[in-house]
Amino acid sequence: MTQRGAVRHRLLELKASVMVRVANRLFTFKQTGLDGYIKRLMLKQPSKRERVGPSKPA
Amino acid sequence: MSSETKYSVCTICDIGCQLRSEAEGGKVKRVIAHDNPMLASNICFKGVAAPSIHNHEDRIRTPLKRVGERGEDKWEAISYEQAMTEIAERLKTVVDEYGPESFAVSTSGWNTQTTHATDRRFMNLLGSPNWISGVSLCAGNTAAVNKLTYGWFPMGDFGNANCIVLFGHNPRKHSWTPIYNQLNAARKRGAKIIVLDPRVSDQAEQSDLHLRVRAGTDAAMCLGWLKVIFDEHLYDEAFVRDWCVGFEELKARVDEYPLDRVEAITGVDQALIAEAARMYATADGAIIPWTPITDMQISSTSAIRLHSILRAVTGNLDVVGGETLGGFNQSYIPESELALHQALSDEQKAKQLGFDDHPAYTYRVAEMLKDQTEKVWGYPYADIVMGCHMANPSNVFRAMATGDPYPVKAFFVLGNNALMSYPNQHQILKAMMNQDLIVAHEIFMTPTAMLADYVLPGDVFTERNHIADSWSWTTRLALSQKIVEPPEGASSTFEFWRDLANAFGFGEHFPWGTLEELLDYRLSRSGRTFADFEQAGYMEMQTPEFRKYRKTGFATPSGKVELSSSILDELGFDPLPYYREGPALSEAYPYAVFSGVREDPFFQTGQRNIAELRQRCPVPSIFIHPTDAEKEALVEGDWVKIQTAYGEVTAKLAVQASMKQGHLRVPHGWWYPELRGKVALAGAFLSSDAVLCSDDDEFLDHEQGIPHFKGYPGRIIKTQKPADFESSAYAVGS
Repeated sequence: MTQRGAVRHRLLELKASVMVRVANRLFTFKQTGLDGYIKRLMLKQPSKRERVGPSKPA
Repeated sequence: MSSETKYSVCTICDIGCQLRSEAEGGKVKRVIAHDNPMLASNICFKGVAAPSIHNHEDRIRTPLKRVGERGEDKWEAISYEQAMTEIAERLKTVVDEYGPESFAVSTSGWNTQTTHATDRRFMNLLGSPNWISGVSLCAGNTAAVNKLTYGWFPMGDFGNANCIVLFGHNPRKHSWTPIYNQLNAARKRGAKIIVLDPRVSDQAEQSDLHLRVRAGTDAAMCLGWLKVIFDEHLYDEAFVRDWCVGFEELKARVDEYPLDRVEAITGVDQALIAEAARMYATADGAIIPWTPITDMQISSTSAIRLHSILRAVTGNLDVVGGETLGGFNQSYIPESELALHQALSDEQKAKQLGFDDHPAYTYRVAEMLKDQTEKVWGYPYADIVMGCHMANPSNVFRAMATGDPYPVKAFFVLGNNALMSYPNQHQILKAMMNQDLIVAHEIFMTPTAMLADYVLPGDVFTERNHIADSWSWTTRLALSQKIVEPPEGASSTFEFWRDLANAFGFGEHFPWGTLEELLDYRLSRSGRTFADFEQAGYMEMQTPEFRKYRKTGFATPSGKVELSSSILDELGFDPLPYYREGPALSEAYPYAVFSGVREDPFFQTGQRNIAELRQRCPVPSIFIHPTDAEKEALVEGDWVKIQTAYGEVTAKLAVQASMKQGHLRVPHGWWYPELRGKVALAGAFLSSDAVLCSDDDEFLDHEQGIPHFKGYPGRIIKTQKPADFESSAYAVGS
């Protein structure tokens, strides 16, 4: 860890904050506007099998 | 018939996976993966089995009152109202005669989920400090000990860590599933994984470094790592200089553990110890995630503190890719506040069992940290993972059994098979047999519930609304929706405590008519209601803020990371971490017994009555190395007994080359629901690991008073298949 400088710390912190903000939008039910756009962009439609999920013990 | 699907937070185990539940005709039909691809892989066969659990024919659906002798398992059905009236009257009688401290509660927040600290709230208003929980052995105690060093319990940033250290922790596809998935993701992007485990576990097989440490020697290993890190200047000197106290004292202590000594203690080659320490210290972001293994050792307090110290001195504290100190979620009132800890007087707090001799997670330390906790985190009591204001379970059971130092005569257990969940099961039975009143709030008739005077049926996660907040371990809020009605006679733990509070005249402190009103209250800080939250989405996270200590300092007496703990010093303990050898092996007991092992199909003592899970593991197995098996003339599939000076466990033998020689592994929490009515307490004393380990001082960690479950002396002998098993549908013919 000792090799991480101040600038890198700040950049990583900024990235982490942005990621949480984006993730929070993905976790809402809103499908319109910017939220809907982000969802369509980031959440690719899963295959039918993935949508159903592992309903039986694997 | 129409069906509907809602979002759930699974409570079959402690990890809280976000799933979806489907119901049809008022019954839960399926539990399926989340529809968000980021969460969809967080599902295991225990969660999938939830409908079989929730709809099980043996589920308790009516309040029961004991009619036979205690433990005889004979009952009459009564109404909820009658049960609550009688329970309140009998509890008042006990409190009037012996004082409020004579009332103790044991619970598992993992199972009950929706208590919302109303148990602590009621107890604090009544005047009892004697609340215990399985979290005293698992995460809760880790939280409390972490606070000694830097005032909070951090969560690892798996998503950005470049090195992950697993001290015996072995997340698998069907156990701790989200952590397993995060480990796989980290591995894929190139993060290094270091595993310290006596055996070749699943995680060890895939690790970059595997240190086959002797069980129970984690503290010595950490001291060895620090020796390398200090000698080679691999620590964050600026952080240590500016934000730590006690470095020179710690360094002097670490110098007492040269690598040849650490090798002799741990059984790991010193070159490998040094390589692991370097890998951890030089990674650009490294984490040592919480592990249940370090929680249960004779040097547990030191070992947990050493994890904390490693995080701090290597600069991995509250940084991206390290371990973040999240603090309270600002939009959800935490259980720490709901509990009303300030309502309990100092005099009653000082009566908490364990306060004097094993204070690390009791009110004694909480009070010492109060001012700094309020300054840094905004509220004086931070009860993270419910583990920071507990009585010591062994002290409580001793008081229940013997009246020393004072009588404890009423014992409530909620979602917790207490008889089998703590060390020295024999004493726990004696303690429960010596009670004037025992109340169990459960979904199945467990051995503990069989010992009760009243058994009240509980609800399950598909039958209640909830917002899970990880008990302040993270700042994430996750939605869990009610999809079916609970059985008519069932109550949530919230309802149970609210109704008891009303019977005791504490109604003004319990103004919530429904669980949803309580959730509204908890969300009121963000100006929302539960309905608002439910409409908006299924999860939200607080925007992280890193290196907050630069503004506030740390919530310790010095305001800094205390490498040498001022609190432990003031309490009369060694302020520096140390290694203490566990109970010695002997000719009579030559093996190091490692208990508390978790099997994928079960969580703690539960689910042995769920056919689809039980068929995956019909009987308990004791694990042994082939060389040891040969020495003992044992073969795979033999029925064997592990014996200690305190008790014995019967199980089948599994011979595995992955085991470390000289070690025996025993699974946790076995009883046989199918033997109910045929064998006393449904076989609670046949195969339960809790009978093996003593809670005499020789076996306890000094500061916390938790037992040494990882490497106590035992032996193994061949036996016949127990006659009691003849009527078991699972053990026949084997």
